[in-house]
Amino acid sequence: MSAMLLWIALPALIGLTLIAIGARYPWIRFAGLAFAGGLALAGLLAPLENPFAIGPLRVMIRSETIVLGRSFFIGTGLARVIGASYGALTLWGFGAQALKTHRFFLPSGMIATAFLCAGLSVQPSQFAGIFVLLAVLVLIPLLVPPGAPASSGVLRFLAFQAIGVPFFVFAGTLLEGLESIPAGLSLTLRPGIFLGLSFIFLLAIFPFHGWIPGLTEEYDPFSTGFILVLLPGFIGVLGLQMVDRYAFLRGSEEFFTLVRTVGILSTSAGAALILVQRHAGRILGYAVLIETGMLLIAVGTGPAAGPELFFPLFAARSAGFLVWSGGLSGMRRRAISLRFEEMRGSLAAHPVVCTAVLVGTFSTAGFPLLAGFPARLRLTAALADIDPTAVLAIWLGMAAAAVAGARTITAMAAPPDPEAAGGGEASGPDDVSSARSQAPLRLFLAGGSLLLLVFGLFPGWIAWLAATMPAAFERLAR
Amino acid sequence: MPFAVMGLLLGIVGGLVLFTSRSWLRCLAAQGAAYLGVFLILLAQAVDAGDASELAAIRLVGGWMALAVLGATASQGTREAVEEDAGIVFRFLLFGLIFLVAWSLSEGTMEWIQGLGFEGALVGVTLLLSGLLRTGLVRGPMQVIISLLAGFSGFEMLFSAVDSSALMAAMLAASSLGLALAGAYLGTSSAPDAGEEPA
Repeated sequence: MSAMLLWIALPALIGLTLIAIGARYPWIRFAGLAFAGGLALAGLLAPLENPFAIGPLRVMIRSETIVLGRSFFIGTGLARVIGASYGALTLWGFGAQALKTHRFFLPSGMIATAFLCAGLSVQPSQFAGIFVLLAVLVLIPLLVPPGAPASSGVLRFLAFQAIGVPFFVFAGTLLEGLESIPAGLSLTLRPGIFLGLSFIFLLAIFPFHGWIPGLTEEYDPFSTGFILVLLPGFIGVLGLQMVDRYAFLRGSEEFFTLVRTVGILSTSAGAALILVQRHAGRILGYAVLIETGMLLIAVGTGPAAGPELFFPLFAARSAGFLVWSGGLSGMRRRAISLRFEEMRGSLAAHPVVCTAVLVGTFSTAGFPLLAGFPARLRLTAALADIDPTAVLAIWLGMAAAAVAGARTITAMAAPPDPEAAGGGEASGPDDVSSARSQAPLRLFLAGGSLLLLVFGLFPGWIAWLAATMPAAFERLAR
Repeated sequence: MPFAVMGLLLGIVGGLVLFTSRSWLRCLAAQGAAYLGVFLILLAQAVDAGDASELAAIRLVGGWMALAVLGATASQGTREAVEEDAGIVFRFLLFGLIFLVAWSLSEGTMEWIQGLGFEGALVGVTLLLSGLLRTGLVRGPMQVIISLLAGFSGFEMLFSAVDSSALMAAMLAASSLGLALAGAYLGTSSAPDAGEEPA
């Protein structure tokens, strides 16, 4: 069996089948989740290029597959990254079940993950841009369910991602064959600029971030949160792959300083803007900007330390956003508005949902004993000797997110306004009304909040999960 | 008239009509003309170089298929008018500015991308810039998508001189088609806009 078939072709096919058959019955969706979980386990545990036994079967997963003259290569390190991605998809899929999101969540997510995995494994690398665009297109129905109106936020999301892709394709093509060219040669200047522009658009780096708060305000926070974890994660890994592949990037001190500076700018801008928000969804959006900045700062620490800091930080982000966006989505489904003025009294009325929002917010703020704290501690410790300004920017981002969390508590805990009772944003079509139907959501959010606490108390677990992933970047690891 | 000059005229006129028009049908027709222009320029380049012309055909067929998807959606009553954030005179002047910028950049682009030719550089840069700028000026899913398609067609024109593989051409055509499908999906989701001018 080839790795490409297992982690790209098969999930894409299963996702299409789930869309085709409608996936209306819960058992079909749970079968899809079990399949995604199986892919995650295979990615995290299975050896590649070595035969192993599954019961009576002997299986060998081949790393390389040639399709139409292009190579799809998935080594052990990349398989771990892919496994973790399918693991994240499984967790988000369970959340989608608990929240009763629309039926396209799992199939769209699975196909998009398959496309993004194809983008990470394809050679030559310019094809990765096309796969990213295809993944973005597949994610559109996840954001905008059939029949729902499309707002300017989703159009800006689509436009910015589509604009970034040609830059990437162009840069990838121009850089073909220049892997060993050292830094400082004019030959790499234009492709380098195109590459930078593509990542600015694809990662929604300040000032091209406008669509993120738009999405988190207008659409289901859980679906948006999933997209804001999935896409930046894969694009970040794609960026690390480019740094790993090209000597003029990994050997350039100026490049890492530039990445760090962009990260500082993004974190600081996010920190300033999050403080003036009065909508919990928009706060989530600006937290994404802060987090993206921190990820860039992590990559900018240097060729060896970058991947080692990137993955724990990203794992904590994924876990934090899972709980945070799940809580926000749960609030919307209970017809609680996410505007500060209209969420008064919600903490007393819906303690589990609101607690999940707060735990997710404070984990992202790097509050001690929560999942986000150890990764930020490692990052600031690594940066202390390299760039004190970056440490300051990270502290600023953490403090601003904490203040946003405190403002959210204040809004939730305020006594309810009798005149405003019954108002708020429109609830989802599948509003949970009975206590029994609320149980899966409560279980999911309580379990997620507990998980953030456990990851904070035992940071070695995330470190263990993330430890094998830097092996995907052979030259950086040296 | 040589193919390349015909392609240049079609590309520029298509870009101009797309940038300034208020009518949904004229926008589709203009982008169709721009695709034909790109095809003719690529065909002329292929004939000059003695190469096969299937790459040019892939781009034309892919582009027209994308427009057909949008057209089919529009014909089912989900048309959008371009919401005029700016007047037609302003748009016309803006396109003139884009054309001048593209003209001034075309020589440098030709030097940088070998084998592109003047017509290819001018049409490519004009469509790319006008498509990107139009994306910011219009509202509504299908209008945004057609602007992105215009930008993509300019990019494909420039990129054809850099990468001549059939697989990349097919994947770019698939991307255009995917964008059109996304536009059709979002267009059918959105409520139809009122007040469209007749074509």
